[in-house]
Amino acid sequence: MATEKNPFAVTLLFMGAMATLVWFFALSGTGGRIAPWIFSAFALGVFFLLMHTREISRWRRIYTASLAVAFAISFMGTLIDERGSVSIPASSIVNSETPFCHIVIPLALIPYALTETVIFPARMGGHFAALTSMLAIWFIATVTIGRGWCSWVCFYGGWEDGISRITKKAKLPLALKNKDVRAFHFAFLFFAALASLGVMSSVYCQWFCPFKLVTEFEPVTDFAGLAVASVFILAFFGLVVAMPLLTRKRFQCSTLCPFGAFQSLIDRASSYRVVIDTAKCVSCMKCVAACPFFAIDHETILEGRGKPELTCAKCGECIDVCPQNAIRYEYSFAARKTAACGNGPKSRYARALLSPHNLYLFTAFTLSMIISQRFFTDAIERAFTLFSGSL
Amino acid sequence: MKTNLLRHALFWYPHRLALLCVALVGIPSWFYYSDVITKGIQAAANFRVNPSFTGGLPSARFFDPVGDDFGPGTLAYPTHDAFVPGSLDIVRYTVYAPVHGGTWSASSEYWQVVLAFAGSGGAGRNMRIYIDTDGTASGRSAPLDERAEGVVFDPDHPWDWRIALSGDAALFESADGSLSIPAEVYEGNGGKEVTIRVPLEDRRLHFLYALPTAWHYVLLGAWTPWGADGFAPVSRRASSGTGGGSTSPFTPKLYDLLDAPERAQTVQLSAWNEHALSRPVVYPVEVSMAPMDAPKKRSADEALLARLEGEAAAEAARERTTKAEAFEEAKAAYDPGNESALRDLALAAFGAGEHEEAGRRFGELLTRNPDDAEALAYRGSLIALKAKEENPLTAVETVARAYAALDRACLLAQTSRERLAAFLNRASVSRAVPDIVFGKALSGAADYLESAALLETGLETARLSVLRAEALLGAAICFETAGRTDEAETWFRETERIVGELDESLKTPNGGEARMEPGNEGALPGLSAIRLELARRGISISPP
Repeated sequence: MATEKNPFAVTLLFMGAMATLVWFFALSGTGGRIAPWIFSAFALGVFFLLMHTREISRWRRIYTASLAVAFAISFMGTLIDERGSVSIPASSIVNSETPFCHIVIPLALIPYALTETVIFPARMGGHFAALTSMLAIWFIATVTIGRGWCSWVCFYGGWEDGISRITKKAKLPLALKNKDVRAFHFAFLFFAALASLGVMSSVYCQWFCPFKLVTEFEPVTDFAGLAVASVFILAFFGLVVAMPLLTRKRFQCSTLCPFGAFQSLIDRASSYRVVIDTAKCVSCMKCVAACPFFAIDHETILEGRGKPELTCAKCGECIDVCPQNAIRYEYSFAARKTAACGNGPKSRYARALLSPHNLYLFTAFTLSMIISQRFFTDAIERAFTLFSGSL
Repeated sequence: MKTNLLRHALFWYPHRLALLCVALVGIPSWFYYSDVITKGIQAAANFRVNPSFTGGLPSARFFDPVGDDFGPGTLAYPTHDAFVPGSLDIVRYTVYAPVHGGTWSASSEYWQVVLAFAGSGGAGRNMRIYIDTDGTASGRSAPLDERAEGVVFDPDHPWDWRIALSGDAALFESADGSLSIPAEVYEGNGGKEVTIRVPLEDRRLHFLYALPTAWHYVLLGAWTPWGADGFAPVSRRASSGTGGGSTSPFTPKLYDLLDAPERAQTVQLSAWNEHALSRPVVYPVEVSMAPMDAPKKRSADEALLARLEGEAAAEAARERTTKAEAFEEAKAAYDPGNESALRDLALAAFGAGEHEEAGRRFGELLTRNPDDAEALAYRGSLIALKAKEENPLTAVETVARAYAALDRACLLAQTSRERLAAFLNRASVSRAVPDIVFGKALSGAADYLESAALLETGLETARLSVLRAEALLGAAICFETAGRTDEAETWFRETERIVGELDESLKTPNGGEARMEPGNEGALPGLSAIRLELARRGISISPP
């Protein structure tokens, strides 16, 4: 069940602010192109529904799943434009022009600290997919929404967001395995980080990343290349399609993605949390079943811990399903019970305007919109060009 | 009630309002200024890719003069389109220490060399790198096919191995024919750079890991499928697949080679003897195979700097006087009905720093012809100059408008004069605006190089040489700003070479005085400023 509805004036205020940002980042300077307008209408529509209906996860999933598809189309199209193919040519590596992915960040930290070099052959700057660009985006996301990146911004995670909600019921329920899954996730992060240090290259990219299928991959020129490509195709369909379908969980994101595990560890730096009001909670366990990130155990509820486990990605699924409105977004400083707690002013408008729920949604969606607008717009134009010649 | 209000004001509101500001303003601003932020991150952290991906650590680097792609001094390129101007002109040769444990590469053990050229267009290149690895008399003192390059090698350094690059395919071969393996070839920088990786999986090549020094001959000819060893022939006149400018059957088929110490290319390649039937002897460069230390920053000669600062200031004062006088003369000669006089007045006003007047006059020219490229170019510069006095936020808009005019000028420019005005003005603006905000250093360098190419008119006057040196110096400074130190060094050296040649020519009694501009004897405007910039970077060229 959604939380208490906003006063309409507050919803309009946030809508006005978001419309201004959408205009600034997506529409200004685009001339008569239609694709930015299509994206703007879609983004503002989703945001309105987020704010007005207070049903977070349904509209969030629609947006992120669309983003995953749009990103794949746009990114692959850009690679074809730049170098004629989606496969990684050796010259891209030799000339350090490989697009830098955020997932490499946790694996590159220790080698960088020891050698002052980056173990990935990417452009260092001057490109949207350069190292410094990704670092800048990562920093601002970390200090605001923390691991909320995974549920609001990640252009890979949207695949699982969409696919995990196709079936109504989990065919492979894993609620009792939450702890094991979380332990495996952190263990894999440490393994990947140490292995990357050992071989001085990102082992996740070389051996484990299932998203190569929708971004870039090594050219298949011989049997060994075919075998490698087959492994990655199986990895994508197994981890990103089949397992989310069977478990209704973000399976790949919660077991293998080193970036997700890393963001969980540094989530303390972010400005928002999810908290569980143990006074209101009736232990119905709906949140346990709903959480896609294995972040709420039965013990979490029964022992009255008051917050999800470390791997919470602030997606809002538990907030939506809780019949008692016992789960909510909260500011980190308030969750730590500082002097900034308290009921606040009596004005409903002031409380709504500055409520952690609204500010978190606005912050998360702003990040998502700014990062995704170019991919959406580009994907729409490419799709139209493909099917009808021009837009 | 009051306690609650105070408590709310002190504790409840500030944190929440701060997060509201972050959401409404902080995040959008972060993305809006992301270019500045990312450049700042790179400037502070100086990220670089681990050498195991990029070919290992450099062991030796050589710079070759630019524009010496004429063999013994007379050769001209074949006329086919594949032979792009500058494509047969080596400017830089970098050798890397052999790698083992290379990452994300076809071979984990390899040896890499990188060549940079003045022009792109690898299809027409036929390059040979002959390598003496043992420094003894063993090896071959002539190429595999004696009809190919048309040269022989230093008898003290017969070659043992060679890298043969033709188009985009390369082979690594032994002199005795016992080994021939394909090498990997990668193009970069728009075809102006070629990276060659020799796989070292064959144990017979593992000696390279322990090799302290080698001697390399780097020779470059034009490629043709019909020539001996792929070298296009040369004759008196150039044709599609034949180079021109040959003065003898013994003229080598080489357009450029890496100059050996104190042995100029023209001297080496013209040293044949028709009577003795002897071909020219070429000499190698000595190459260290161990990783080199990071280049030490050259220290500036303080005494020379002080002297040059004085001379540059005096030169600038003379220039201001000259330009002010030229402006007065142009004003006196101005005839409203004469477009040429209007243009002269506008240019004179710009040169004299009379920006308002210049803006008005260029505006008049644009009213007469909105597509006047020269007027657009100067107008763009004038708009950019205004940005200096504005606050940062409005300055960004102003510079954007300046570039709109400059870019249009470059598009519309047709004649050499218009193109020079357009590219030079745009380059000057790119050099002046902060790269951390606008990121124009690299495009500025390209514009300066284009201007320098336009100034190569074949008419070698001292004034044109100075202008060319100024353009190349501008390119070097822009590359330096953009962090492309190798390319910056190439153009600093080229500027140094031109200034050195100019000094030499001015020393000669006839050559110097004949080319001096009247009324300017004893000084060439701009030369002191060039010397000063070079001296600041530790490149000392004392005035004669």
